[in-house]
Amino acid sequence: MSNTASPRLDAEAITTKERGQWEMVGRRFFRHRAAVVSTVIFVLIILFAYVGPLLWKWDYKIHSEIPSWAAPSLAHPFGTDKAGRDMLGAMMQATKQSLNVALVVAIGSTVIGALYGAVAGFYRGWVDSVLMRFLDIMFVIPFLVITGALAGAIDTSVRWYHMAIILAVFGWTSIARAVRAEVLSLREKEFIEAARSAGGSDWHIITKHLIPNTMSVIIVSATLQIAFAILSETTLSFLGLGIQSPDTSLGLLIEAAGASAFNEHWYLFYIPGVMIILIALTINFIGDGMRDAMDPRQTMVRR
Amino acid sequence: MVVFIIRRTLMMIPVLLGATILCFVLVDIPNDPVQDRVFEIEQSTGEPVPQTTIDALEASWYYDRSIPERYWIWLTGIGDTNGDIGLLQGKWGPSIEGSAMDIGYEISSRFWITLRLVLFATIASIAIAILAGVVSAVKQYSKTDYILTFLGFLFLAMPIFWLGSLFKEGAVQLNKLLGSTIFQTYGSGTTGFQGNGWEVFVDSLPYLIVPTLVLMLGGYAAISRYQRASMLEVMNSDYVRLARAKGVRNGTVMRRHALRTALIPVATFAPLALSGAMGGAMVTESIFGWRGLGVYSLDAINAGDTFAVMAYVLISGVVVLIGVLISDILYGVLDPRIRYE
Amino acid sequence: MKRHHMAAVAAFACTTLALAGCGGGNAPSSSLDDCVTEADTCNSGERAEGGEVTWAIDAGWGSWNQNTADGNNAYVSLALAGMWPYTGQFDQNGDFIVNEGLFSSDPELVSESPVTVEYSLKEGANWGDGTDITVDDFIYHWYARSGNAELCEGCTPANTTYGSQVASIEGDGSTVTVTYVESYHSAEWKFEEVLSNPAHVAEEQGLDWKNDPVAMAAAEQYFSETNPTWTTGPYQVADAAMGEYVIYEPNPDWAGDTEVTLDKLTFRVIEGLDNIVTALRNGEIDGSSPFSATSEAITQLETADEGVSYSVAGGPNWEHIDLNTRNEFLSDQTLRTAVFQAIDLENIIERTYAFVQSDIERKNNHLFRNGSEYFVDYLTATGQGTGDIEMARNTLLDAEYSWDADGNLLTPDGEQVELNFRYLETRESRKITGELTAATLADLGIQVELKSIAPDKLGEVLAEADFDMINFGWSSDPLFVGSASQYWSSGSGSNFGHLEDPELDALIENVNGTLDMDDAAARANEAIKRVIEDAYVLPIVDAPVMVMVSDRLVNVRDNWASQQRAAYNIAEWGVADTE
Repeated sequence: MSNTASPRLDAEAITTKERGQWEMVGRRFFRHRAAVVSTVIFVLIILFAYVGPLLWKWDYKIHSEIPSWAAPSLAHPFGTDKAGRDMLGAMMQATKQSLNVALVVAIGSTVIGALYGAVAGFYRGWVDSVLMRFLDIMFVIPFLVITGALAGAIDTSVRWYHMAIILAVFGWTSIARAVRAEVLSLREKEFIEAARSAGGSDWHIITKHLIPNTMSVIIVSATLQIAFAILSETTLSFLGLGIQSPDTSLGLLIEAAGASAFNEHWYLFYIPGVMIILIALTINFIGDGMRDAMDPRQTMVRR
Repeated sequence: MVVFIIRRTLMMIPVLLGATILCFVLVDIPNDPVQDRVFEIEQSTGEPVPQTTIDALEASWYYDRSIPERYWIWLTGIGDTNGDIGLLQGKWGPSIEGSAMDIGYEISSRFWITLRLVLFATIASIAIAILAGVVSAVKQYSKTDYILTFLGFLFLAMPIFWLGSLFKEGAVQLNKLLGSTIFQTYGSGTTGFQGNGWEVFVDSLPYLIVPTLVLMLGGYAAISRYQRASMLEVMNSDYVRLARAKGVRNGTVMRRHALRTALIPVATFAPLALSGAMGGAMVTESIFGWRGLGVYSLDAINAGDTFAVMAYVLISGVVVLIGVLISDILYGVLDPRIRYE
Repeated sequence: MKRHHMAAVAAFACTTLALAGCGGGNAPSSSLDDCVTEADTCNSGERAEGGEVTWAIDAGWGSWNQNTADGNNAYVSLALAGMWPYTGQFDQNGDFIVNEGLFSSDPELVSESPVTVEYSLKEGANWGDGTDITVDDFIYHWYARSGNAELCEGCTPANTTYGSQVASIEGDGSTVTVTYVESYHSAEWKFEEVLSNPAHVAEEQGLDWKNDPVAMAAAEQYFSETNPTWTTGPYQVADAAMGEYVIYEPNPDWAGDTEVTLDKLTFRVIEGLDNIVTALRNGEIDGSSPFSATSEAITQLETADEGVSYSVAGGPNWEHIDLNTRNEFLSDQTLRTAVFQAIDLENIIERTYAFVQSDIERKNNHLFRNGSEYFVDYLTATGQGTGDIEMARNTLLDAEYSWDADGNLLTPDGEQVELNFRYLETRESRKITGELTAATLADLGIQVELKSIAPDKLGEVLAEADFDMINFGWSSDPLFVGSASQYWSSGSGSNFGHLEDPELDALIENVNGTLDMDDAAARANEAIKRVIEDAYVLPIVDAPVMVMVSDRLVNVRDNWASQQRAAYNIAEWGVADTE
């Protein structure tokens, strides 16, 4: 958003005392107000999901002493559901599960995508052709259908890690494209030539030179991948093709709330919905801020 | 140009083949619909299903073959078949929903239902997105820009299924307030309605509005960001600055020079957005009970109806590839710098 | 607190009723609320001439032909309730009412050996196209259901329990006589379905079904694919689309006596209970009798003020927990008994089914509903389903089970007992049943792993016996003679937990040995007693289902005993006469 600030910063960097690359990135990032606010909120959400359960007295399970369908109150800030589940506890668990999926997908798909893209871009020629045709194939396969079909085929309760693996295995294509494009231009640069003439192996060049130099693209993609994963996972769970009991997910909570948006159980519908939006929104802002900070040339948001 | 299109079309074939093989293997391996059907019948009749019926079901769905053989006959129809299978012969294979359910018929009739939803939603989202993108760019860093940008981010972050559930229930509440059923919540038209094209369209309006709105907001966010960026880029380009320097009026510059160029990326993006909305339609259709392709694929997944899933995979694959092709062609037509060899 | 509120509402409703003669009066009730006490007459009323009704069905279908495996489901059965030649209907009390449009009297048993049944066709019973129903139509149905390749080659009948037992069918004018093979000895001879599709329509298609088994199969396929334009019911199909909708108009040639008042009756598919409730509240439909009920749906209907009523009652399926006797631990009958004793059904019901049906009772007989004339409770005495951990412990101690330092249950051989519990992911009540079962069994020192089942995998899980404990449902229509053998006889493909008990097999064999219903029921109860001793299947409840109806309709009420549910008396449906 505020990307026009960057040229000035660059100039500053040249004339004043030397600064590390990451320090500059950090400074630029902190100029992006929405991104900073988002980071704070996102950290709070993470604390809510991972530390919250340690502090809050109820977990996400059914307890006989919990009344059913209690409206939000001090005892149950997010209310309770029909079966007698404290919704604050359930929200913490659901957020944790959804974040688990999102983080694993972000890391997993980024590793696959970055390696794939780097290999394709580095070798070019027939390797690139074959890899890119396979990428086309992956692009053509409808994402929700194939991930849903695989989740539906799991022979037991679908846990969060099942979903994480499935989404990661099918969600890396955009990263691969971005990294490949970057590598295609990098591989002609002098330092790659140098590394090669110094006798560096292909693997060495890819992992030690190419990928580190595409880090900005990779980090931004990985961040945005969190939002993508959380939306995909909750959608699939909502459709009944994702996480299943005894695990829980934000999508499942909304599915269970059904059409209660305007009746006395409204809180069952809005709270998980707002949580998904908050996560996806903050992640998008953070990604935007990172992009501005690390790659001032690029401005467009993905998706 | 023609050569380009033909070449690109030919290149689709291996991609589609690869996609169908991959999908077939992934969908079919863990699948055994026969046992589930047998149990359903037993549950319904309270009596055992005769072995001959079980064998007949197995044979009629080709579950007495190996997976490679099943794929082969699905694709070619060559071999020992009941004459209802073989894509190359225009047959989509048997559906486990019933021998009277023709997948080809289902796919083609549902295609138009989905297309209607997706087309309206995409056109509306593009129109609004262009407007919002231009306003945002022209008034860069103004309050309007920030609000529009924030809205864009908000809708980008909003899960369609949640938005859909909210709007559906909102429509019911609105109906209640107004005291009449203006918005329908289920289906894409009056049951069994018959009439000419216009009458069908008018009939479908109460069904169409809310789901279209939902799908539209989903698509709007991405395109408006796109439009804003490309508008900004053009506005900061040399020729626009030159036009301004020459003293051309601001409005004219915007319309004649900036907007026209800035529309190119969005125009080329439109076919992709259309095929992308097919995915979103899956959720919208299932919430609003449209008997479209998306719901068909969902039902097929849930029932383990491999051939029906494959039909969806194929159709959506073709739509995506055609979207990409049209997008590339448009790019060449609109942008004089690109030429096809 | 909602739960108590609900219960209070129901209690209050009955007090008011008590004042107005709750359950006492014979006058038909005009409210759906009274269906608890007067299931067969509630919501009665004067009908106005004319009117249009739209009724939602909760799932689609893939064949119009109910003979076939594809077309055998409750949804198409409901959709075709207006025209299909059912032999008759059970009413809510389990009494059989013969189809007034087809027969002039109940089927008659004219010989016991071989069993021979005489059907008297009503004068003027016809197919709605000017052709009378004849003996050929009976024969057609027999062939279609025979499972015999010499009669119908390549047919896929859903079952052959009727068709394979027929020896011959002869007709003489309006009298049709069905003679069964010697081995046929079912007490339920009266209720056999004997008609399905019109033979003359098959002939019009040039299909010589009578002599050519291949043509017979082709005729069955034709009826699968073709919108039924013929009718034997009070309505005829005006327009229809497979799996989507059926639009009826009155059948002027119907031979039944009940007057039909509606001008138009639409059955349309709306998938998902939530969607049905929303559509009803939004005025898009007039009612529905879906095969599920949730408290969310009830909340929606409670808060709706659009003139919608609903009632909830035990439906046509019963829920139960089965044990897999091939499991290394559960092969021991003692452990099975202890497991069932530890399961607290009252608590489970309280937290699941009671939310939708406040007066629901635990089911205490596998085949007969609580309150049925044949109902006998052998279950309570065994302590199964009471959640009495002490009793379960003693049962185990007697068989030399023990507990280790951490409280884990050990078999006499010193092995730690671990089980899984499987349930269909889409059924919330089964999910909760699993959670609660796991909790109580943990008190007994048994670790239970919950494993859900994807919607299309239940049949597979059952057939492969891929479970230790499982919660699923069976149909609970008033017919019971075939059920015992299907569920529990050691050779049955539906005996999913593979119980093998020769003594039980003998008892089951016995059920089929009499033509008298009372006698057969007594014999079935003997088998039930034995299966309880085997601690094999623990019934939970008759799963509640709901009917929801716009207040402008009269004579619409649920019927658990009919596969067509509320449509069992479709001819009587009407719009209330408000004048």
